[in-house]
Amino acid sequence: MRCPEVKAFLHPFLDGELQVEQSTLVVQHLELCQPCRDRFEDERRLLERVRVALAERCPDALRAKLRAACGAAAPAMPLAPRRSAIFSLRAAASVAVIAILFVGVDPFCFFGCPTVRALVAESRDRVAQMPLPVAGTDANHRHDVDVARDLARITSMVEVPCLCARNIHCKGAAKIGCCKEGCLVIFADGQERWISFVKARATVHPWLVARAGESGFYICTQDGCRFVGWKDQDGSLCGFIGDERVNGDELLALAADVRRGDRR
Amino acid sequence: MAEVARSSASDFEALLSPLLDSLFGAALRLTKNRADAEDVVQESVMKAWRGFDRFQPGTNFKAWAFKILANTFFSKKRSEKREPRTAPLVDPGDIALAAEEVSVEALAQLASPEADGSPSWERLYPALVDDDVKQALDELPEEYRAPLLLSALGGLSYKEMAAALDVPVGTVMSRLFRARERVRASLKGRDVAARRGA
Repeated sequence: MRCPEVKAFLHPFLDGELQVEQSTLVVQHLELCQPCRDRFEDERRLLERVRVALAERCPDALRAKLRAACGAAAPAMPLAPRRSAIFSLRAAASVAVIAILFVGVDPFCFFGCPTVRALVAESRDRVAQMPLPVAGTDANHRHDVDVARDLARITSMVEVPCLCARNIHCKGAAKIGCCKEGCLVIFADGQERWISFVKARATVHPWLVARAGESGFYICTQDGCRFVGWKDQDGSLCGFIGDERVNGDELLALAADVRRGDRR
Repeated sequence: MAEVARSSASDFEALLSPLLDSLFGAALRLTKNRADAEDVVQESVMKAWRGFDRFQPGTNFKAWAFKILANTFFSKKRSEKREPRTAPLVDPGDIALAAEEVSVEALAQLASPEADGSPSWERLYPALVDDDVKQALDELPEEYRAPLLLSALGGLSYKEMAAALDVPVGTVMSRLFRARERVRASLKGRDVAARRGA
């Protein structure tokens, strides 16, 4: 894929509208092309800036009014039997591809980064003490609140023998924990990275499927990463399901199941 | 029967409650007015509640709710206009593709050469506050603002936005793209002005 095509695909890519194959081509190009990567990063930040600025709180009075009104109105008909959600792999994959691509690019570094446990505890406290953002307040403040909330949702960390992504070439053992908004990665040397997903998309789709082209891939859910896959030195794909090491075929089979939404 | 009614009411509340902030946010930027926004949200929620039996569990409730919100806003707006509906905004650059699949060529056309400049703008426009972003959005024509809001706040897909706004997917894409370009240009200008003033 060349620059003009990639440029044309940037918005659909950011919006999670590209198919996995197209997304992969975009990612491969971005890995090699600095100008396109800059453009992508600009677009992503613009969308993030808009999203943050638009955040509002529904007034409590209105909430109460709505609850009362719905309670008083004639009840709706009984619900039809539940059907399983149709999961959009394309969107989730694009989101996650963005995340893994940018794992090495200017991640947020915050709070001096001690252990996750301390971090999570601290962020919970921070959230508890922070006043809820109101219209017109400073974006940075609200951003802090968002990040702290995200961190507080990370409930478990998974240890992986190596994590490969752009700018991180199989950087030894790492721990990775994910929530809907992103993943926190802690490397063996103590260095930490926060990978933020594009939030609006990530919250819609419970499964996040990442594929990092040449280097490896992992599949995460909002309550943590189920397994991480990577390419061994001989090029074969392997990974973990829970604590059990599996080969590439098993990994891919499970990935396919996950995409179909068969497993939780 | 009462049992069923109670459970569907709690289902509805469980689905709706987390969306109220973003629904209100979208309504506020559509109406540009808190009182009107509250009206639109209230009316939309009541419509959603009354039509909840038609909602298919397992499908995207968020997209459904935002669609109702958009419909409510636009129909309210139409009924408030004394004049019958004026000619819809026609954008000569609109690439209205009826087909679901959008070609690379069409997308390439959207990426206008104007946007080609080096990404020189400062990271995140540090000189600007959220109100600047809101004002930049408010300046957009409704046709452009609506998809931007549905995308940013509702996270709707192109297809869902097309259904919500009753326009082809290609139109959604081109409007969304142009909306973002306009916001970017507006913010750029404000950022320069803010720095000059500072």
